[in-house]
Amino acid sequence: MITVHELTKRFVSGGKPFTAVDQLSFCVRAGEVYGLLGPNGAGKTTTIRMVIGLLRSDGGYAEVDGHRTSGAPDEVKSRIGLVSAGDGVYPWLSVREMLLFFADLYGVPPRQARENLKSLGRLLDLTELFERRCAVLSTGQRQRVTLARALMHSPPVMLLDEPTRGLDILGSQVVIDYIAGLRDKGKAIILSTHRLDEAERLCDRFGLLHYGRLQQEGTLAELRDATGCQNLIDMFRKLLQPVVAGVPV
Amino acid sequence: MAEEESIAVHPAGGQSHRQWAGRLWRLVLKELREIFRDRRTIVTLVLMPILIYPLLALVFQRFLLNSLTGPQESVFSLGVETELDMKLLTQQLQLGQEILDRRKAAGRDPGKEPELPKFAWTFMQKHSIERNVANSDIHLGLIAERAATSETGLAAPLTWQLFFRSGTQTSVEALHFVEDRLKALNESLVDTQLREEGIAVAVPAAVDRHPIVFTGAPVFSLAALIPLILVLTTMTGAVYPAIDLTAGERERGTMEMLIAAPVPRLALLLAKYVAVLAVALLTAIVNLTGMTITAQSTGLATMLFGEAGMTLVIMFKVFLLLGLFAAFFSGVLLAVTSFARSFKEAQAYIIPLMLICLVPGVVCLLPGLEFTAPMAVVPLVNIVMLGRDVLEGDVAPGLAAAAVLSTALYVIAAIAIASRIFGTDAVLSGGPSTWGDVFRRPFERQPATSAATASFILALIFPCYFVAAGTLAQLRHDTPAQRVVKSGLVTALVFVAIPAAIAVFQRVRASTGLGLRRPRVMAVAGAALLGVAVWPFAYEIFFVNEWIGISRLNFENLELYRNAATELRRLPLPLLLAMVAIVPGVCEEFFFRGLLFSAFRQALSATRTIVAAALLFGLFHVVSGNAFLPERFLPSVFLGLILGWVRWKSGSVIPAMIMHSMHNAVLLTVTYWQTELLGRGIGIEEESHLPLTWIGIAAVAAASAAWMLHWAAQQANRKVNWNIEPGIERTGQ
Repeated sequence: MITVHELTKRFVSGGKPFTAVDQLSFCVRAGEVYGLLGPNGAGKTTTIRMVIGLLRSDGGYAEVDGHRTSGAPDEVKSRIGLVSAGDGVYPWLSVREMLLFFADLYGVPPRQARENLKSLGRLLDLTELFERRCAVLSTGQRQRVTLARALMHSPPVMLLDEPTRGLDILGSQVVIDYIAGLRDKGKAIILSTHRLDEAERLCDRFGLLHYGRLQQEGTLAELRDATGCQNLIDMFRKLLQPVVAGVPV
Repeated sequence: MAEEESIAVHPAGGQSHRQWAGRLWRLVLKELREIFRDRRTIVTLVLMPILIYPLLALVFQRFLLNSLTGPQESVFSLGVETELDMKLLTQQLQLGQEILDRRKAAGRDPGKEPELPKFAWTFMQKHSIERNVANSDIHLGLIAERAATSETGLAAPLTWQLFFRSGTQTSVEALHFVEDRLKALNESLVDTQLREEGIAVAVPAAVDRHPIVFTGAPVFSLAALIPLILVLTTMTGAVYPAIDLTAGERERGTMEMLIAAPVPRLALLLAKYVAVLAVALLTAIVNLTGMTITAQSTGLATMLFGEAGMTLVIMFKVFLLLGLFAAFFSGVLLAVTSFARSFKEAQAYIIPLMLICLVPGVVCLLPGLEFTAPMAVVPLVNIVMLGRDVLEGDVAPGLAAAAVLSTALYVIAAIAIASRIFGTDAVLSGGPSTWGDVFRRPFERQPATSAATASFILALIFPCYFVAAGTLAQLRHDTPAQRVVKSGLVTALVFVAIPAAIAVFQRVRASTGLGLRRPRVMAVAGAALLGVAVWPFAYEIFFVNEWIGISRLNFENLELYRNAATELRRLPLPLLLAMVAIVPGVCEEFFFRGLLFSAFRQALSATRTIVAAALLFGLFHVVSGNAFLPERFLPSVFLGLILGWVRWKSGSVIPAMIMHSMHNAVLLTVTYWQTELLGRGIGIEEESHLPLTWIGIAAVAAASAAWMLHWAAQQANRKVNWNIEPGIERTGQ
């Protein structure tokens, strides 16, 4: 469903060029949650933005459902639901207005949009909030609205960049459960998160990213075999350890 | 989630034009809903006019009215030491006034003396008089100095020490008033004394004043203030929504999800533009209403627009100008704020821009400044000058058309720039946006220039063409041959060099992006025949102008045309054919049916593309140099429609170039040999219809040519109603 092939992105910082994503390749199948994990600055968000076409790659390509981001951007965008950590809301619109607005942007017929709204409202516990202005929502409520917004056009692919950031345990649980439900419905999902416990429970496969390069990839069992660590936290520690002449210090 | 699962993906590309328009309208509604629910908008929209204009009116009345009216209403504030001084001075002034009145009645001094003003007397100590004048507490201070005895034995003379504030109009007027009357009194007394002594006085140099009242147009028109006010009001209205809908999107965190939707950025920015324009217009209307009420109630309206005040005609003119200013500022501010990532950054960009924009408004107040051709294409200066001339009732149609057309193109270019920069890598990833983002060279070859780039090119070449054509028209020392060659070079530079350079920079494929494909021989032959056959119809369309109220060539233009034709006949025909027929034919087609056609074709249907390119082609021909030629619009659009059809049918721009050149060549040759043709009985009277036989022959030839083009298209295996040209993907529909 999602194919990323030698994707590369370079930025210029302080007058010096640096490679944020370096020839990254992986693929995600339908009905699979792929955990894109790594420390801050590893290139996770940049990768997600390149997959959906918000950033132009400097090399390689990303394909969604057979459509390349560079060649058919609208085809790609219409198949993706994006939830980003920095997503905001339109403060002066009501939740209903905002969700219907986005359904309209994705070309969902009005009747279908209303049905989707009803369904998502029930599933994400948003029905009570429909008439409220987005400005007065709590962080958890906003995050659920953002998730509903990304699902209004029923995309087969979800790109979730820190979807539980700022949420309490209960709020996170609602989102996690919902993501698991999406996987069961056959959606291909890329999940980027710093909550490694959540990732361990939710993801089918993982890509460990550091300095824009894929350091390790596989299921949890495969990663355990490859790294000799039992959990993702230890794997991360090992990943971040400075290496001198091939020996961790 | 059963309902959710049943939904298919809804790609935006599969919508009809009607659905698109509906969607665009809903986008606009969302933007307007956001803006009008925001309290800050209400402050700008409602509170500003309520608070600002009464204050502004007070300022106007205080400074402007006082400076323009005479001293009739003045009250001179005079400071003296004692009540005795006041009585003495009043008596002397009255005597002086009587003498002046007598002189006036005798015709000795026909100058109009001001009426006796009212005095406000203040008594103060001698040492404080000077300070009070300096502080503007009084207009004039007077200290009476009396001599104890007189050497002549006459009554003790009195010297008035006068203290006034130089540079202050009322103070100087008070000084002159007092001086004139005391001088008249002194002269009268000396005259009487000399007469009593029996001495006749002959004045060596008498002076008579003859004031002349200027009855022509005022050097400084207060109506020139209106464009400045329009600049202020429309800009004020557009600033906040422009920031909110661009930089505000990023600050709220909604920009990313907005551009992640499958909607072209141009459509998003178009919706934002309409919303900003709506608020700017509304703000300006509320402002103008407030201003009108204030002006009428304070009497300013009479000063600005004469005795009739603000009539409906003036209001209509102001409203049209307001639309023009609002359209301009909405586009420009949207483009500028698209570079910003926060409100603060946007404000930092806008404040200097606002100050710069005030300059043309102030400059147009300069007396004697004329609205010239180069000014007609300078952004903002053109509409400010147009506004001034419209309100003064003296506007040149050619310059007005150029100003409106160039402003429309600048607005389109500004929206195009905004759509290139809104949500770019730099804005999203936090780096500073630069002009490099606007002109970034694509990595891959492009099938055609984007609509945004095409708009930018249009906005660039129109002023270039206008100024170049105007400059050429002014070159009186050039020989006709030099002028013809230079005209050809300008056409090539404007319609080929600039678009080609941008197309190369944008890595546009020549075959798909410029239509430079090898055509079929039959298509070339058909186009050539059509070029020969189509002119009688274009000629007859000139008569339609008369029917719909657009005058045909007036006497003055007819004379110019005859002179030009006589001048051209002195030049060798091959030179004329090359520079007046082929160069414009090839170059104009390179742009209109080449680059522009391919750019529009990416987003529009074939019919709409042909119509859009033909309309722009027509508009370019309406404004030529400094002349406004509306009669050229319909024939040019007609020709543009056929050229567009040829381009579409043949899949190449080359047949259109050939047809255009042939059309020009036929008209030129007929004009060149006009006298000889008339001598042989071939020709038509000026201002009359063509013979029906001619039209019949032309119709048969045109039908044959159309069939040839159709046949060539079939041979090339192109369907009549094909929606897409090979190699060009449609993305917008």
